[in-house]
Amino acid sequence: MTDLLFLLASAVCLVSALAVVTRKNPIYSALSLVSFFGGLAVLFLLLRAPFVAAMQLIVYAGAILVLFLFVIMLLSLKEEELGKEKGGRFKLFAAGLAVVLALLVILPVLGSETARDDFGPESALAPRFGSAEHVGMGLFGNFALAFESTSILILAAMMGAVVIAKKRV
Amino acid sequence: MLLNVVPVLVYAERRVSALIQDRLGPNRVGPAGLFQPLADAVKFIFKEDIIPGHVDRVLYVLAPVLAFLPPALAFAVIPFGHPVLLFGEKVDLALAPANGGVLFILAVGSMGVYGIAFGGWASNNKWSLLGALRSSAQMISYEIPLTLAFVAVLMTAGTLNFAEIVQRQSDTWLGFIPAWNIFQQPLAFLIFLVAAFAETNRLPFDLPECEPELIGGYHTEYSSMKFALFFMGEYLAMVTMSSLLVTLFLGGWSCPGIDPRSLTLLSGLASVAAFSAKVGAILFVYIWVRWTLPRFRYDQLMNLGWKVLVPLALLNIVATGFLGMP
Repeated sequence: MTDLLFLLASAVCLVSALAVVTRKNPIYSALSLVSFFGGLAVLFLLLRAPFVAAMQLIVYAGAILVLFLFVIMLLSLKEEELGKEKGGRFKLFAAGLAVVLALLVILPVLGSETARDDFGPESALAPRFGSAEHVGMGLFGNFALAFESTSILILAAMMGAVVIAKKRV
Repeated sequence: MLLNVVPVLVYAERRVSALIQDRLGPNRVGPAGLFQPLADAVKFIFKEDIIPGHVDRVLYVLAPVLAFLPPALAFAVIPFGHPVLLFGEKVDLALAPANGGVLFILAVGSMGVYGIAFGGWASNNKWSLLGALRSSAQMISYEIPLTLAFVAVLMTAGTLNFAEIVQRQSDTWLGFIPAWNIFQQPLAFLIFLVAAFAETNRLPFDLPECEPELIGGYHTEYSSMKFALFFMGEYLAMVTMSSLLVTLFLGGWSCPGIDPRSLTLLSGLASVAAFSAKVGAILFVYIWVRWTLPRFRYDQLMNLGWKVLVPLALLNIVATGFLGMP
């Protein structure tokens, strides 16, 4: 059952990830990205990380992509404004780069010992692993410093965006 | 079961609106017009299903489904009665009692905007697009106060499990005041109520449809069952929102006099009845508000969301944090 779900979710992820870059119409790319996030959320669930899965949907699919859509709809690009496709050389280069990057991820994983092993029995994990409590304890306990610095970084980025967007502050 | 609520709700909406406007309302089909929703449904099915030539076909067909699914899915985790002993087995009265039910509802709920956004865009029509844009901005804006109000309740409840949230509200104070969260979190309740109206695109916040300005908004180009799906999605969202409101603030299925520990079928049915009665009351408020309040202007809507509700909700969380400290 888990294997089947894994295959299904991975297939959804792969197909929609491909669709994101191959669709010519940006709306369809955005839609594919939504389904990609959905598949990713299922994968997170299978990895016993329900909190991350929920966040994946709430933050990425629910908020960020809607903003993407917003921009795409407002621009409302016509066929001719989308521009001509870049030439075959560019595509070849991009494909080659993608393969190299994929190999860079796959090779170390195949080489390592732990990858071939299973995750082990469920009892090996901390009780309530991946739940909201577990993540919360980590965020506000062990990793409080990193968490807070990230939030300051995001705040700075937000203020930067406001400054750029406004002509006179 | 959930789908059956929709015709009842449509009927109630038409009758109550007539009552408020001092008219008769539908009263010809069946006793007191009770079969009017049936007639509506038959009409919807037999209407010609038109797909206009200028639409983006794939998204045009997909959008009503996307609008309909999230509210129907979200209802699955809401407990509508206390656990009962059925044939010697303990049964939870919720379709899918999940441990992180709250997270699930937030995740699924945030998907609701896609149906409307795609519907409006695919229609390839200025009014529909405007409606869709308004709705995406509105739903994203009001999701924030909604979630923040949620957080305050979760802080008092100390759990992400709906069954436990309700369980905690089933006690009474001083023997007669039900220990509902509305008494502990009145501000959060108010914020949630207002945000819920905006999330479900109901008057006074129905800017995405707004007949006088937008003809009908995102579903202008839809006909027959596709339109009906949008319509049902909207009403389902109302039902799910009301159920959520009842679960979080009004004690869910709990009611003074119902013992959640009894596990008998009769008591279980009584708890379901209590839940339904509360949801019905909230739904009546929805209809009542729709026919008595005028529509907001769009800038007023955004001001209310960002400058009033969000700061209030944040303050409420801070206050809850301080009050809750041991």
